[in-house]
Amino acid sequence: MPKKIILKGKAIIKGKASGYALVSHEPVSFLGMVNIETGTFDYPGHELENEHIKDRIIVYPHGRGSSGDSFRMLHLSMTNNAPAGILFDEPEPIHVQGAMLLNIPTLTHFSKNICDIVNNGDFITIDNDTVEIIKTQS
Amino acid sequence: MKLTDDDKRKLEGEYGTVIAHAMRFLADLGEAFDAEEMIDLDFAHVYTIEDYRIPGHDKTLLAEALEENVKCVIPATAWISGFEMDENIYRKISIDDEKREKIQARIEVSRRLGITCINTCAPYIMCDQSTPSFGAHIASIESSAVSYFNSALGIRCNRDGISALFGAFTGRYPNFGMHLDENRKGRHLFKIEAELKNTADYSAAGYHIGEICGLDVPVVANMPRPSTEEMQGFCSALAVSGAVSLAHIVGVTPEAPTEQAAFQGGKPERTYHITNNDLDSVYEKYNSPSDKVDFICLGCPHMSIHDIRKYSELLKGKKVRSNVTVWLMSSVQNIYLAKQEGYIDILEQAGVTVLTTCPINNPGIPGPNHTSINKDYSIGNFATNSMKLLYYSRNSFRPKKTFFGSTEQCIQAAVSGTWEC
Repeated sequence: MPKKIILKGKAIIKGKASGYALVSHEPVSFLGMVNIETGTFDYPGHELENEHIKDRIIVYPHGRGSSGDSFRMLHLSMTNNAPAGILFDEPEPIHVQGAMLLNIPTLTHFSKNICDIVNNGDFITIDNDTVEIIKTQS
Repeated sequence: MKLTDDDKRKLEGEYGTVIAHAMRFLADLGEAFDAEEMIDLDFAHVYTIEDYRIPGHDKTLLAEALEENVKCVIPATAWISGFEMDENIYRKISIDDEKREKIQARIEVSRRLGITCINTCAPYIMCDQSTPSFGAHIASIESSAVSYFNSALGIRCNRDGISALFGAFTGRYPNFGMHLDENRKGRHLFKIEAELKNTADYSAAGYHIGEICGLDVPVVANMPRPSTEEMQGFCSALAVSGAVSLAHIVGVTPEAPTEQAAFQGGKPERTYHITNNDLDSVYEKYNSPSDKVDFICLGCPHMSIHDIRKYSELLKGKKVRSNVTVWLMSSVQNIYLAKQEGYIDILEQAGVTVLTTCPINNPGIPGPNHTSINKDYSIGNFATNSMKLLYYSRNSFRPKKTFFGSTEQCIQAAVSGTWEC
């Protein structure tokens, strides 16, 4: 039986979503790290290099970098590369606004550091303020 | 969240669909950050987003705003990247007529909404009445402007996106983040022990501190008083590697006459010593050994009138090597003034192009095609004194090699065609 973890967080954007996790342990800047046209992390040597954002639940500590990232996140939906949901350790206003423009379920303020709990490829189901994590590796 | 009767009227649609949506967005943003109330804004620097639609609507938000005769209720400015004052520059930066028409149309729409198109990423160095004063509450896009407003001027501002436009439309903003005294309290202490000699050094220090801080507020002690360009380099880099909105620079930031004031009487959570080794590690990561240089870009963020003059003096009587492209970037207003003062003539005679375009966000970089269209495109070897531009250049320019160094190194390379370490 795969291990299942259930966590509560604060739902910044309520809703339901599910998908495979895409975890960055460092704060994310879409400008410089992600090709918006292809929806791919393309920063050489980054832990998510060549990974696609589309339909994934992105998990990262918080946003950083350019204010244009909120509009770049919206642009991801226009290039059909939008993620299904976002889990942040801490809310950062620009990436929160990006999530609001995308209108995808987004949670923050978990009791534990979310980036340490979720591994890349775990299956995640978001239901408002509840996150279910099915571990793909033990 | 506590809303005034007028806030409620806006929210309920008495002022039209666009204002209702703007107020809803601001209220939701406030809820995300546990804001208890809305506050009045004094100023906003906005992005007039072209392709955003209220969910379920066919028309764009801006088209609906024009139909509903929405006008900003506070002083508001915007930058329509790609706009140039000099017709000849459009050809140099490969902006065709179709693209120009789009830029012009966005300018027209912005004006009709009551927004002044100052066309700069550095609204804080506008020498007019639009920049508010110490303690003011504003909303602004441009991560580098946010950290400058807070750190250099003590103007309260969060890292904004579309919230700046909605703040300009409604005059209101949720009271959270950098607008609250308690969130402006310093968290970590950074003692500068490195020698900060030039803009690149300040920029490298900002990059290093931003990486450590993430979202936290640093207090920076022993920093030699920065020039405008050095301060821009420092603040912009803080918001590249991190998401820093405010850095208290002791003796510079209005709220930080002393370390104690910056920590609001508290103690630092952690103390870091910033040494030459820390700066060297940034240089080592982003600097290449001596080689030929193809493209040099200075003025990220947009430079002040004083810096345009400085560069015109450094380049007076000199000539940029024929196969090197040199761009200096500043605001419409500064370039207008620099023309009048004769600085632009000197720079143009030296072979430098002075423009307002952001090379990160604009396809008009020198060369046949923008990177996202042509995957094989590369700007060649690229040099700058800005960590911000250097970090983001990878997506836009695909440089073969990057050089990061002082203004003087950049100018020397422009003239000789070679980067000397």
